[in-house]
Formats: sequence, C-alpha cells, structure tokens
Amino acid sequence: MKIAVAYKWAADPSEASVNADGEVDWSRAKPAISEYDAVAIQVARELADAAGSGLIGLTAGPLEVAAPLAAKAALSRGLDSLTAVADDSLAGADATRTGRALAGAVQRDGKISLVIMGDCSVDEGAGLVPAVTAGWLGWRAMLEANRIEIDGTGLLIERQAGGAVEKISFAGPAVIAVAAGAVKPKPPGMKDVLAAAKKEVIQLTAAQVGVGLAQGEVLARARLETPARRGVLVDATDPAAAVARLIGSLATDGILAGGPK
Amino acid sequence: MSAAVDPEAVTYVLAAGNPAVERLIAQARGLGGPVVAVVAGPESLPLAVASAGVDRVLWLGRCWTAFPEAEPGAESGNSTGAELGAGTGAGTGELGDDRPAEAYAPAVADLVVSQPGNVLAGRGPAERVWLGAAAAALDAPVLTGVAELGLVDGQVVAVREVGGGIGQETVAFDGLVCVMTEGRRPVEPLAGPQDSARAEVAQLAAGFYPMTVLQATPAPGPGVDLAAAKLVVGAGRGFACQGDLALAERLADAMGAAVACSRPLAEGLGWLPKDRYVGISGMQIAPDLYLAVGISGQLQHMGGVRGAGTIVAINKDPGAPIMAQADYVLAGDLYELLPALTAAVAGEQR
Repeated sequence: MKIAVAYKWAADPSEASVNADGEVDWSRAKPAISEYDAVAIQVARELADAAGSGLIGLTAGPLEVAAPLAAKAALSRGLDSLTAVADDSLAGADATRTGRALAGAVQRDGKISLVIMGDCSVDEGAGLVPAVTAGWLGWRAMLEANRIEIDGTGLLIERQAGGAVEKISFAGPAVIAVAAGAVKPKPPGMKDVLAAAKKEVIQLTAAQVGVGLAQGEVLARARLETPARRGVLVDATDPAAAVARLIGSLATDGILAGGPK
Repeated sequence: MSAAVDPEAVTYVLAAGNPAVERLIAQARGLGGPVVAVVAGPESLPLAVASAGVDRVLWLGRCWTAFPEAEPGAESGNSTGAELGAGTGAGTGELGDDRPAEAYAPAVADLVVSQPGNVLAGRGPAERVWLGAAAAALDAPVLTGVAELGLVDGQVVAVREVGGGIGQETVAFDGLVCVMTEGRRPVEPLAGPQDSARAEVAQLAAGFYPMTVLQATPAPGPGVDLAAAKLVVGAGRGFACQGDLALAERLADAMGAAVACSRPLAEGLGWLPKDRYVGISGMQIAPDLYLAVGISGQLQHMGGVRGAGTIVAINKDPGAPIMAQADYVLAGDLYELLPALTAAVAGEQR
C-alpha cells in the first residue's frame, strides 16, 4: 500500500483583512502548514512507517506552493518526496478543482492507494477537498477519523460522528480525512529541516493533471453585512437586577418562556 | 455565453442517515425546480424526510445511523451502543443496517449524472462525502457559506462569504453547482396524519461500496447536536479553568440549552470536545438565542453564530469586539452573573 498525504499551503484568514470594496487582502497573512495538515502528515507518517511504505506529499495551488520555502516546510515534517501541482490558475481554486488536481497527481503516480488529508483547510475550512478528491478517483472516503489502522489489505477506521464512536472496516483505495485532535503534531527538528532540502520535489501544471478552468463570474463584492444587532446595554453593577432585566427582555422578545418569579 | 441551467432542473438535497434537511430544502426552493431528497437510512427516515416539504424522496437503501430521531418508534438500543453485525450476514447486516452512509457515494454520483441537477448538502461527514462524489461526477463547483441562492436568466446566482467570512461575493454560474449549507434543525414531527403533505418515496436500486460499521458505541460525554439546539450557551477564554465551565453547564441545564465554545477551548486547551466548537472552521449555528460568555468576539468565532436570532454577550471587558456584535450586552464578571442568571432562570431567585 503506497501512501500519500495532501495538504494546503494556505494563510490563516484571521491575519487577512477586507477592504471597503469587499476585496480580501491577504498580503499580511503568511501561508504555512496549518495545524490540521500537521496532524494529517504525522498520522500518515506513522501509517507509512507501520506499513513499510514511503510517504508522498501532495499539494495544489498557485506557483508559490512549490517554492523552496513552502516545499521544505512540508518535507521537514516527514514526507519522503513532494508532488506539487503548482499553477497560478489554481489560486483560490474551489474544492472541485483542487480535488481534481490532487486526484490527477495520484493517478499520475499510479501506485498510491491511500491518501490522508487534514480535517479542513485553515482558510476555507469547508472540509470538502477529501470528499471531492475521492469522487474524482472513484475511491472510498471517510472523514473525521481519529484512528486509522491498516489491517491486511483493508483499513480499520475509528471516528466519532453524531454522538457515537464508530469502527468502520473496508478494503479498497481510499481518501481518509483525520480529525484535528487525532495526534499531537511534533514540530520538525533541525535535522528534519536540513534533510528536507535534499528531498525530491516533482512540479506539475494544472493542465498536466487535467484541471479545467475556474467556473463562475463574480458580479459583485462587498464587505460582509452582519445582521444589525440591537446593542442594548444592561447595567451589570448589580448582578441579580441585571439578569432579571435580561430575562425580562428575552421573555418580551419571545425567546425565553416566562420571566423571573 | 449561453445560459445552461434548465429552470425545470431538479435540485437534490442529500440526507445521509440524518433526517435534518429543513434548511437545505429552504435553500433549494430558491432555485425554483422540484426538490428531490436523496436519503439512506432505516425505512422511517425517507418517510420523515417525505413530510419535510420536498417534492420527491429517493431512498438509496438502509445504512447505519447514529441519529436517534431517524427512528422515532425504535427501541433505544438501536440508536446508540448497538453491536452490529460484522458483515458476515449476522444479525441485520444483510439489509445494510451495518453499512456506513458513505458507502452510497457511487450511487449519488450515478444519480446526479443520469438526471443532472444542483446539489445541496449539510456539513455532516457522510453528507460531505456524497456532495464530493456529486461535485466530481458533475464537474460542478462547490460553494460554501452561501447566504442566498437563486436562478436568474438561466444562471445560478449565489451570494457567498469569502475570506473566512470577512467578505461577501455575488457569483453567477453558467452550469450546475454543489452547495454545502451550514447548520441544521431536525425535522419537526407533524401533528396527526399528514399523508397529503407527504411526498412520494421511491427506492433506487443503488450501488454501494462494501463497507461495514463493525461497532458503534456512545461517544464519551453527552452527545450534543449543536446545530439543532435552539438555545446555546457559548464559553470562551473568560473562564479561568476547565472546572469553571460547570457554571456554563449549570446555566445551560437550567435553560434547556446546549453548551458550545470558542476554538481555543476545544482545540488548544481541550476543555471541551471538538464538536462543541463554534466558528468559521467549526460548527456554524443559528440558534434562537446565543449567550456568549467570556468570549471576546473574534471574527473566527462570530462567523459561526452570525445566524443566531439574538446574541447576548457577557464579558468583563466592555471594549471586547463581541460587545458591538450583540443584542444585549452585560459588561460584568461572569463568575457573578452566571450563578445569578442560573438562579433566576431556575426560578429560585427571591
């Protein structure tokens, strides 16, 4: 079983800002390997070691994802090599095109049969790329896995969903997204950083992996209008009086039944 | 470019083992065409969804589901803690009760290709797997954070959040789209027989991957469906230690509310499980009341509660960003205000 781990070289939106025209300004936000992806890389490394397999890193995005700084940040976390679909046409790509790029890289390799990913990206946070990638590949997909075990030719997944811990077993090629808390990622050491510089990086274009053009035409941009809030100040000097007033107001609004007795 | 989206095209809403589809249906109605629910789960589930306001229900087959409301009259042993057949034909395994909903992903892909339509799904793990299969099968863009969805002159027009919720875009698409919609409310059971309001349910001969849920046990700690909660108490860094969260739990108990938290409490400190964390990259909820306690009001968090009906903020710092984003603002000590509020709600105050 040849194992790959996909990650996104992305900036944390809490460091971005939005200008008056509604355009998001990412210039002060620096891309990095997110916590989610660090967890996925570590889980994948442990799986690859247990299976005696190498670990291929996969990423897709604008050209900068294959730049030495970005590649080394990922490689130093324990990848053996990196395949980067690096193409400026992939800047801001949605899950469908990102998934197509990753699936294309997997198909080009031809031997990968298990792809691990993080819970979600730090910038979009939708958690859809693993599912779409599996869709493009025609592979099984399982999300929010806390534990992954390779069991002969099959996989044993443990995950928590809908108030239950489930153990799921199946065989066949798969894309698995790991939950954010699956492991505690170790930061790379000096040795890892030095070794990363010598590892192989394969760079592919979007066309080489069959990614189509972006769809959709932006008609308008705006700063997000948050619903107007009333901003009623409730004097909290006397806690008992404050909560009585609050409950009274909420009861008047029809949100809480009754009021203080 | 010629417009490509047929106004008569169906809109699919995906319910993978979870009957909570009301929000999806409301959004699907914006596209005008017939709304078809695609469901997997026990027989009772397509029937529940059929009463939720769709035009048609396609049932792919049985699957394991952890949602007790999926089976209203079933004995509780069936919903949690059940040891299921191990795929050897033992127990009910042959019928598909031990199959994860994810196994039906190829059936969803085949369906949307055979009769193309826009596809809407919630954020549950199985729903995302189905949506991903549909998006790849259709080569359709996936949209998230969609506030409005409509069909204008044969184009799908969506108003959606960008940059993690700091900006908003109106985007027009010449082709079909797949939409992930946040937040769900369970289907309200209809009073009395409502067969006239019930949509037709058809069973599809659906293909599936061989996958087996070997075992399912209740998760540690009480399971909470935050997305369905009408009242939510959110806890943030204003709590000094994990033990103090009991103040929030007690208030929530008194109110009949669910407890949520901001990201650091779930992911950094680990004081609460991850399914309690509300924010742009966590749960996005729209309760009637959100009581934010000791939460500063960072964008990351507020993006998850934007849809709340009323927001009450309790914070020591009158200058915290949350104070400008709430309907009622109490600038004070949560350690005094929460016990007072709990007592008042419980009706014990004199």
